[in-house]
Amino acid sequence: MTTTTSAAPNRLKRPANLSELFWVNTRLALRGFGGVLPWAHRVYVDEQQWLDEAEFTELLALSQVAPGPNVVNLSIAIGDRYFGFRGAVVSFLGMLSLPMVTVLLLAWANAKGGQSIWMRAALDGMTPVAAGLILGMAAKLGIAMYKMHPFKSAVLWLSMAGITFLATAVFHLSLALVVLVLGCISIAMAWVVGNSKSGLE
Amino acid sequence: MTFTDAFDLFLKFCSLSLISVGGALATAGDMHRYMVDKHQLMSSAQFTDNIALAQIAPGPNILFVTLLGLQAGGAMGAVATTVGILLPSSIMTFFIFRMRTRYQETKIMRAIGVGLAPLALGMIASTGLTLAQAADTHWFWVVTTIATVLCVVKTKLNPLWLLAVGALLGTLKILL
Repeated sequence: MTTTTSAAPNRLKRPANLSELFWVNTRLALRGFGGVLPWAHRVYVDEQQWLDEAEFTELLALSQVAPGPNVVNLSIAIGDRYFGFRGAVVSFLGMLSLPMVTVLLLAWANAKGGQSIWMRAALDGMTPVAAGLILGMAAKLGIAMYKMHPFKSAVLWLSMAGITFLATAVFHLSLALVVLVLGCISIAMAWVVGNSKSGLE
Repeated sequence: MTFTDAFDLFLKFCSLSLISVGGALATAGDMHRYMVDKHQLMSSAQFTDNIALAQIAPGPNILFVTLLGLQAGGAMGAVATTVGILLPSSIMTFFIFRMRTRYQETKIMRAIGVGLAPLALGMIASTGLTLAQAADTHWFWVVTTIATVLCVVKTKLNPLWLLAVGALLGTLKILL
């Protein structure tokens, strides 16, 4: 199921044209009740097989530390990768145009009729699932990260993820600060590990 | 809303865009200060209602800024906030990824990729926990969240089914 870093690239697929890129992103976004990110993983890695776990994690990491919403950033990266600037624009629009129409319609319906008690109840049940989808995706990425590296460096990177989690979830430090400080430390460690011949990798 | 007001709103959201590391929701506090406290474009309740509405709707949560703009200044306001929050960050992201592609094979780019991955993982887990804390108001929902995590990890089940089960549980809960 999880591919190792060496075996993957030749098995990956790609979008045939701009229109496929647009509609894959639109369908992906429109399934994202309570969060699009778990769907990004499912669609790009499992369904379309445009990315393997390792590359998904890497693109996601950059999307996460760059300013802007991570799924939108991810769509820009994927569009640019296959069709250059045009692809980035089409991918971006695919992720946002129809969802924008949907949210406007919902706002209109809400202003007109107000929310029914049933809709409210259904949503109360969907939000715990949406939270679980995100946590589940984090768990899958963590497992993939563990399998991707030799034992010692896997422990190192998972500890780094744990520290980031504590800094943001428990100590509520600002993301900009976390990215700046922990990011530099983590990149420096990756540099050292990657360059040492007897190293962990 | 006059054109000058809309342009001010646009500039404000452009500046927020550039610092919106981890998503625009991280800058919602600043938006509140600008739109509710400073310029009284809407009430605090309207502000949070719009955010909740966008989170309910399918699609990227960033679209809450469109609703805020609409509330503040109609179509012109919606364009100002949406373009303002998305354009600067997207242009910057585009060039960040161009740099990555160009220097992909260099040691430093590989170190950046490997080094940042754990940060992304930690932040996503943190987002998940924040959402769970807000949503899991009853032990029953805590169990639901944990069961969802197990389903995601152990099965290939389509998440739409899980969301449908959640919706069903929600409606059953008020019946009982």
